[in-house]
Amino acid sequence: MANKISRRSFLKIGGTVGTGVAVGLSTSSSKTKAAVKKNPQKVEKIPSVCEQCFWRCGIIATVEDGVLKNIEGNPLNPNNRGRICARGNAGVALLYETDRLKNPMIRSGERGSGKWKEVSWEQALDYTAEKLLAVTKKYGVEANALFSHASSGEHFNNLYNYWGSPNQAAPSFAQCRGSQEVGFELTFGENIGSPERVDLANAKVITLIGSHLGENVHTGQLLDFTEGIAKGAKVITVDPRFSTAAGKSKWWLPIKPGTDTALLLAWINEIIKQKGYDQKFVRDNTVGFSDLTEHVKDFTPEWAEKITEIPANMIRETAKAMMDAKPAVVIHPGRHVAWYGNDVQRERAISILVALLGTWGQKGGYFLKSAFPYSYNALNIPDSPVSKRQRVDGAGYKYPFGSVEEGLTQELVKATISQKPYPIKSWLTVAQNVLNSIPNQADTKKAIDNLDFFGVVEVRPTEPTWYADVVLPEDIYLERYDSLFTVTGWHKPYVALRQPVVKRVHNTRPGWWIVKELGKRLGLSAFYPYNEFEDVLKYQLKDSGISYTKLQKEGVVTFPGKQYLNPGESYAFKTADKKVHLYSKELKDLGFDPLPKYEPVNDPPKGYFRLLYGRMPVHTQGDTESNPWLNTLISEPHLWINETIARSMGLENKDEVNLENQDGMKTDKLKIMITPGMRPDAVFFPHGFGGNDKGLLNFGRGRVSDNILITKYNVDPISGSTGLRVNFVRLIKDDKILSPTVEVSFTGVNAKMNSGVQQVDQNRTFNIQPKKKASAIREGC
Amino acid sequence: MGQRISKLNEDIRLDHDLLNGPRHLTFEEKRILANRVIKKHGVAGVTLHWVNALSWFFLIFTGVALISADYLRFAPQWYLNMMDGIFGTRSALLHFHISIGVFWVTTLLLYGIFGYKNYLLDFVKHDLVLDGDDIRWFPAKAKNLMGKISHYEMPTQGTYNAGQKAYALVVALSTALLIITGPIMAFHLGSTTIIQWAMLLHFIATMSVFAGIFVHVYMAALFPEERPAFFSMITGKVNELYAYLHHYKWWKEIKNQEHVFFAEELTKDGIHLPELEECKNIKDHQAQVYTIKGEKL
Amino acid sequence: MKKYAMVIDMDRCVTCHACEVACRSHYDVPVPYYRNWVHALPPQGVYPDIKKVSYVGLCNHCDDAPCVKACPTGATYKREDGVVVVDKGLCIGCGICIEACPYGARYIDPLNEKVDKCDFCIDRVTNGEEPACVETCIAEARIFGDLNDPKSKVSKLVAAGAQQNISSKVNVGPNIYYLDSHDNFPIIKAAFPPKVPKMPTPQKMWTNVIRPLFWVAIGGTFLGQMAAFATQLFKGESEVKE
Repeated sequence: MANKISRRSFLKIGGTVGTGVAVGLSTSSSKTKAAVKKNPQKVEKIPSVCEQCFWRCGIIATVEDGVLKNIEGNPLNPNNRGRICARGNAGVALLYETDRLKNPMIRSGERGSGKWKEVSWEQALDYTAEKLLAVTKKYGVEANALFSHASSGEHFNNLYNYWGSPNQAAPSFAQCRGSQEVGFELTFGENIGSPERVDLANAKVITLIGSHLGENVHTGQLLDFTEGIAKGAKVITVDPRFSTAAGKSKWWLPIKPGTDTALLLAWINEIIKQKGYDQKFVRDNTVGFSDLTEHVKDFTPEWAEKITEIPANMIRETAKAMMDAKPAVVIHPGRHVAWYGNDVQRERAISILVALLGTWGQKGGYFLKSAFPYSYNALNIPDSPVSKRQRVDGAGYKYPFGSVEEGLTQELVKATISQKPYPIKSWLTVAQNVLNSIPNQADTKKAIDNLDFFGVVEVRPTEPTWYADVVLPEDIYLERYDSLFTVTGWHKPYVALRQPVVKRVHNTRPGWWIVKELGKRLGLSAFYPYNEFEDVLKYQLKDSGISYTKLQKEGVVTFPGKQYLNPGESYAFKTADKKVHLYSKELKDLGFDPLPKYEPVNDPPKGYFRLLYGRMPVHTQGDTESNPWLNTLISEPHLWINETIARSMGLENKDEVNLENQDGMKTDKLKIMITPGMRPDAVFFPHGFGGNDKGLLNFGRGRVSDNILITKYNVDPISGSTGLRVNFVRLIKDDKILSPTVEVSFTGVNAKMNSGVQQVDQNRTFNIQPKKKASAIREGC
Repeated sequence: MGQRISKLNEDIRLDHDLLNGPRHLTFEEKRILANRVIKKHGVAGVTLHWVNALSWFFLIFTGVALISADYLRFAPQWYLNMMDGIFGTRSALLHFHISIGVFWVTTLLLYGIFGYKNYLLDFVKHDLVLDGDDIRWFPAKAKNLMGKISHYEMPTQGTYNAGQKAYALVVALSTALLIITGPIMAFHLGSTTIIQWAMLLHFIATMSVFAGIFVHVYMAALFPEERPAFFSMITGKVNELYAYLHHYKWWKEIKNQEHVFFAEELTKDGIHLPELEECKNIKDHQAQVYTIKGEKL
Repeated sequence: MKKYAMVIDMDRCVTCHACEVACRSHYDVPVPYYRNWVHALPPQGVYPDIKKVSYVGLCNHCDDAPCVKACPTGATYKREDGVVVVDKGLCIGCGICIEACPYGARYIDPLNEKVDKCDFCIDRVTNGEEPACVETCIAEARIFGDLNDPKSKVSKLVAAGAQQNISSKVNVGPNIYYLDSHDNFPIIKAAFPPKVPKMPTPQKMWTNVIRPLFWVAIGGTFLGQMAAFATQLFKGESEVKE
């Protein structure tokens, strides 16, 4: 009886609430779950696929009487093998998050005024279609642009394809993986995929260029990474910051930012010099080796030392480790590689190194993509029209290797401002925070001002929703169907099903339904000959040999694949001549360097630091900032700064500073984290916090987003991908500009050797005798 | 001592308008007084006493069984085991304790609120307020118990003597503490710090009452002189002689009031009234026998 | 008889915090309270000797649990299989156990005002599953099992040198062990040492001063009255003077 009564609100004497968390927490998830009866009538375990990040682990949702109780990993999914990360676990809190968009809204005041009226879906869709058609009538269908991302985006990409507008862009290429894909495609004829096909679990040496595995959390990849380390893999971490991965590395190379290509070239130089490359592989499978040899002949470790500030003997030592371990060497291709605008060439250098070590299709190297043994039925729909006008973002022409599937977001923004080659007059954004993901926010805002129509399909009231004309709230992944996830590039290839695990909580709709309804209104009904998306999935699978019922019950179906080449087997590379292009004639023909060169980057001006950003394990970019279960772990970004430098500026740990970049853009206050594990010429903080998310009442964090400081960016001429690490910041405290008073150099000092092999000191003794038993020991009640 | 010997048809009561304390009475006077019974406690008061006693009984016996931590406990392990056995689970024991506690507090509050004037104020006035006579009673009683003085030489007492008042004070304060700390602990009405202090005060309150209970029970139930007091807690009445001798100030207050009434011939029932027999031993007693007509009012 | 314990493999752990969220999810632990924790320290040391460590902790289900000794009602008790649990029917929410815990593993659940903490997911374990934190760990860095079974993985890891977070001042037989081959654990022990169990002031007053006084008082009055009663019985009631 004592349990039910709560007098907290009257008698909070003494205080039991912890500190450091924003007032007004979104605790609805706890309350809702607490409302679940102790003994539920119906307990279901429904498999589905997570979408808290882009890895898409298999999950199993425990649902009691229709209320989501818990999310666990699906043990049958070969990617995450029954395990799930912090964000995946926190999906429960997302479902019941009070900040979620609950109803379609049309703005009733000026753009950005925050005045809304809630409308029905009919009204919202009619309004959207009306606006889109108006733009089409006045400016042509290509004047409608789409910014999309994630699984939701796929439905909208299809819609715009059916409709005939080629102007679609996702940040995944231009602000993330684009240059890695292009670099590897130029060398190997194919990219390394997502998930990356790196055989970390069996590698003997793992080289990470900037990849901070462990803070960048992808469950399947981390399972492999930690397994590899436990089995004795030695890790080389090349990172200006002492990342979690560096903490598990045998070698931490605190490279000067922007000089990674020099290091790679020196490694190539050393490996060729020592004849440590896979001679057979090079002979049988590559072209351009002699050009390469000639090209790198002066790029010695000594040359690289002056540039990278990494000692030459360290470069040699790590090169030797890689050589000796081949082909069980994983050189991680990187994932977010949009650093300096010369990133394709850096990725080319990585791919050349990979090729030299002969790791393609080898155990402990890169494993193969499997052939998909099934085929899905295609929907009986008309062909998509060919658009009359070329896309405006330069993908495929101005940027010859820019992805036409994923587009170039910043170019689309710039075209919207310039109205060249033709006006872009409407934007629809789907699962993309255009203000926090695309650099130079000012441009993005200016572009929005140019629009006749700006619509947002979202789950949470992120900053762009504030400027939208119409807000269409989407079901979250736990409430909807999406296309099948067919992963052929994994240790065990598989097909996974995303299905709703609960009935939707608010008046939201899934992406597939929204596009169907929009399509109806845009005259595209022929492309949507179905009522339920589940019917589409069943239809696709009908003759494939994969049982939909099995997918429903178990969430995943695996199929046999081939990870490695057989001994002596040769791989038919997907280039035109089926060979690995060490020397890229393609690039040469287009006027680019056929072999990667080191291009120097500007040093930060005196008193400034290069702004580096990255991932943190508990948040996915800006998606999870307000999730109560994740926000309680990390509620704000901390600025990593070198300890000696910081103290010379009179700073202590957790002091608050403002950052100001070279263009005068200033942030609100953020706390610093001083550490010896940060290069003195750079600062770092995690990406994803603090847009001006006015709608996130509980967690508005002010302007401490790294993206507001990224006002300057380079564009890679080959891929059209951006280079974002070219901004410099200085620290301001209490309106005073802080300047370091000492110089710290990392040059000439070796990085720490840590053994990658689990060693146990046999001589240690442990006194683990239990003390006398506690006074009240008894069997459980 | 200069007392007037009362005349045959004068009542003893009229005698005492000028006297400040009891005088030695004749045997007949004592017999008359002993046969007259006065109402001391109403039914409500009697009921409350026993409800209180019973509640306290259950609360203490389950309460000490609840505290099992070595550094806090009062009861030995075998007692804890026995109580666990009786109640099955310890949480059943706790729920029982809380139930009785709620019942007890509710009863007291009902009395306190609805019986504010008749019971609560009355109780405070007569049982809790110590005057000069009360203070002097303590050393006097000590001497009396040691045989050094007679109770005629002790300071006169009101409705309750100082000893009873002292214990009543302890009980009243403890009760107040328990009414506050009990619900705090039972229903978590505060932070952990509040509950920890509540626990301490709860224990102090209960143990204070427990410490005095032996004296209270002995003096009320077992000590021969106070036998009428014990029965007053059942019948609500005391004989007038007892009141005259031991609670003179009260006797004087109510001596002319209508509520005094006769009882049966108490002496004939064999109930021992020491006051009656003792007079044979007092040297300066004049053994005169008067015939006094008993009057029924 | 089982003796449940857990080993945290610090070599494997990548500080991803999944275990914290899985635990919160399974038991609906209200923010900002927690049953387990990952306290990540910034990289520290002197360049180039830098270490990045975090303290991954939970209730240690100690052999000589101070919380069990501290609980006034016995609501917190240690089961035969070693798991220390809280009987919610008996807990009065006094929080003395919270101050007694050297590891800060306990909290008051605001939804029912009673003490809560990790219970090794005993309902899952009884069903043959692993604790939620163990099952979700994406680095396979948590190992759970029976220390009384010499063939279990935890027994082998403890025999191989997994350490406890104990100090010279506080060693209550914790059953969470840490595997560490990079000499990182001393940093954790220095940064997060077990605290000396504290007794709150009111209870200190009771134990040290007030309870002894009451023993004397109650014993005194009881014996005193016994003596008076005996005297009365012995002498007969006629002896009582007027």
